[in-house]
Amino acid sequence: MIGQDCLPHPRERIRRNILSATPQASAARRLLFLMIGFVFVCGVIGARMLDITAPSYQVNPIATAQASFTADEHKRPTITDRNGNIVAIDIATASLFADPAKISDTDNTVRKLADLLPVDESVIKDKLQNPNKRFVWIARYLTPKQQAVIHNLGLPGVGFKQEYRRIYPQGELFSHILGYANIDNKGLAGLEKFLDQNPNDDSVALSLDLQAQHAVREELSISMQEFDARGATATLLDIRNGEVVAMVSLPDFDPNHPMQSPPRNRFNQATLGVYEPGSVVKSFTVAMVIENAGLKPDMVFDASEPMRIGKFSVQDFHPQARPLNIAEILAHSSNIGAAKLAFQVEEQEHKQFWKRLGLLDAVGLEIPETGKPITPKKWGELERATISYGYGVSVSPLQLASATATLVNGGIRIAPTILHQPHVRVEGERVLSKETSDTMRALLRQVVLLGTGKNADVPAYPVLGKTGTAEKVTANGYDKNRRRTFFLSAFPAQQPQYALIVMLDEPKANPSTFGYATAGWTAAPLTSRIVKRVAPLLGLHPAETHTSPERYAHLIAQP
Amino acid sequence: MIRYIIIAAAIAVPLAPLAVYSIKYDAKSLRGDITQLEQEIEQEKINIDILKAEWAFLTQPKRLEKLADKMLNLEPIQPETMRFQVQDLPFRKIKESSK
Repeated sequence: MIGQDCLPHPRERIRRNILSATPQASAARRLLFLMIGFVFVCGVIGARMLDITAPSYQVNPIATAQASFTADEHKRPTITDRNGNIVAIDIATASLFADPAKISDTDNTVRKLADLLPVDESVIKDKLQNPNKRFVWIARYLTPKQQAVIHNLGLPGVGFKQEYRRIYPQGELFSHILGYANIDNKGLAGLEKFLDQNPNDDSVALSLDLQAQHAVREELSISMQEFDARGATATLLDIRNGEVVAMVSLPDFDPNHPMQSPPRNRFNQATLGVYEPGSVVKSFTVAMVIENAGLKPDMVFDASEPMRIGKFSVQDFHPQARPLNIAEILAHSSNIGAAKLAFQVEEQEHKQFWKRLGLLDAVGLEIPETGKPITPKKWGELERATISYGYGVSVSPLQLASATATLVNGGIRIAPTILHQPHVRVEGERVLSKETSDTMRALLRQVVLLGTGKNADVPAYPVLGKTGTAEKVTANGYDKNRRRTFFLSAFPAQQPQYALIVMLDEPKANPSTFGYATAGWTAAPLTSRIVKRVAPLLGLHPAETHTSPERYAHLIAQP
Repeated sequence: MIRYIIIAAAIAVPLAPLAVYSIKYDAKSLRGDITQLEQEIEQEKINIDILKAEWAFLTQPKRLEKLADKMLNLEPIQPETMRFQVQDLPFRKIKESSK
C-alpha cells in the first residue's frame, strides 16, 4: 500500500498534470496563447488592409477629369515645315460648361459670367434655362486668366473641362495646304482632312519650307496688288523628288478662323482650280514633236498666214508673219507654229503624250482638294490645234508644275507630294528621253534670253521658262480683256532643281508694263522676283552668268 | 535548442506582417508619387506645346521681317553678295612660333 501513499489517484494525476507546470502541459498552453495572438494580429492586419485598399476605389474627380482628358480626347498630330518649324499644333485649353439643374441662382450666374466672357447675357441665359439638359457648353477655349477668374467666383453648377484646341501659329501662310479643323477638332479641309482619313504619327513634316513659303506669298501679293489681279497662285516644286517646297493661293484665309473669310478665299487655285493654261503648253507641244516625231529645233514651219480649220482660224498674238523654226515658235510663242507642230504626230500619240505627262488625270496629293482636268471628248483636228497652244483643256497649276518638272529633270515623271519623307525613295517613271529633256532646257532658256520671257531672268540664277496668256471664258465666249497669265519656269538653268508655276487671275495693265497685261509683263517679272528671293533660301549658290546654256541662241532671229 | 527557435519565431511572426505593412505603405506612397509625377509630366508637355506655339508665333517670318527692318542695320541677302562658299575661303595662315 506504499504505492497508494506516494501516488495520487489517476484522475487526480490528470488534473494536476494540466494545472502544474510539467513541460508538455506548459508548451501546449503557450501554443494556445500564441495561436490566439497570431489570429488576432492577422485579423488586425487584414482589417487594416481592407481599410487601406477599400477607399482607393473611391474616385478622385480631379484625377479622373485629367485622365479622361489625356485618354479620350483625340489629339491631332503636330504639323511642322520641312525644317521643324511648327505650323499647326494642339494646345490644351479649359472650356466652361454648366449643369443647369445644379445652378441655384441663375440670374446671378448669368450676370457674373457675361461680365467676364465675350458672350451675350441672353445667350448664356437661354442655355442655362433649358431644364432638360444636364450639360451645356458656355464658352470654349478660355484663356488661363479667364479660367482663374471664373474659378475664383466659386459658382455652383459650372465647371471646366480641358480640351485641345488647334492653333495655326503661321496664320494664313499655309492656309490651303493645311485646310482647317472645326471646333470639335475634326479636319474639314486640306491636310487636316487627309490626316483624319489616314491616321498618322504624333507629328507630320510638310515638304514646304516656311521661309520660301513666306517669300513666295509676299512676292505674289505684291504682284497681285501691282496689277490689281483677282487672284494669284504659285507652286514651287523640287523636280528631283516631287516635293512641293512652296504653294500659295491668294486670296487666302486664316485657318484659325476659316469661316471669317468668304468661300472664294478658301478655294485652292493651285490644286483645285483647273484653267486653260494658254501658251505655256507650247513647251509640251514642242517636247512632244522632239520626242515622238524626232524633229530638230532648227526645223522650219511656215507661220506667215493664219491657219484655217473649218470656220476657225488660228492666229498669232504678235504675228512674226514669216517662216519660223521650232526654237522661234517657242521663243515668240507662235500659235500657228504650235498648231502645225501638233499635226506632226498622230491623234492618239498627241493624247497619249498628254496622258503620260499626267495632264489628263487628277493629280494625287495629300489634300482632298485636287481638281480633275477638263478635257475634250474627242481629239479632232480643231481640238488638237487649240490644245497645242493651251486652249480646250483645263488643268491645275500643280499639274503644270509637275509636267514642267518632267520636262526639265531628265524626263522622269514623279508624283508631287506635300509631305517630307526623306527616308522614302522616290520612284519615277520615264516619260521623255534624257536628250529631249536636255533640248527642252536649252530651248526654254532661249525663251527667257531672247523671247517673250525676258522679264523673268535673274542674273545670278538663270531661269528657263515659258509665258502663257489665256483669255477667260465668259457667257459670251472668250473675253479679250480678261486673262489669266501664267509663267512656267525652272531654275537654275544649267542644272534645274526647282520648277515654278505662277498664275495671275485678271491682271490689269499699268504704266510700268507699257499697257500690256500679258504674261511677259506680269507673270514673268513675278517669277524673277520669286526666284531671286527663294534661290538663296534653298541653298543655291549664284551661278557665273556664262555657265548658262546658250545652245540654239543662233536659231532665234531678233527683230 | 527548440526553445530558441520558438522564441525567434514568436518574435518574427508579428514582425513579418509589420514589415509587409510598411512595405505596402511605402509602395502606395511611391505609387502616389508616380501618379503625381506623371501628371506633372503631362502638364509640362502641355506647357511645352504652348511654348512651342508661342515660339512659332514670335518667329513668324512676317514679324521677324518687321523687327529686322526696325532694329537691325541689315538687308536681305542679294545674289551679288553671295560670292564665296565656305569651302572657297582660304585657311588662316598660322604663324610659325619661334622656339
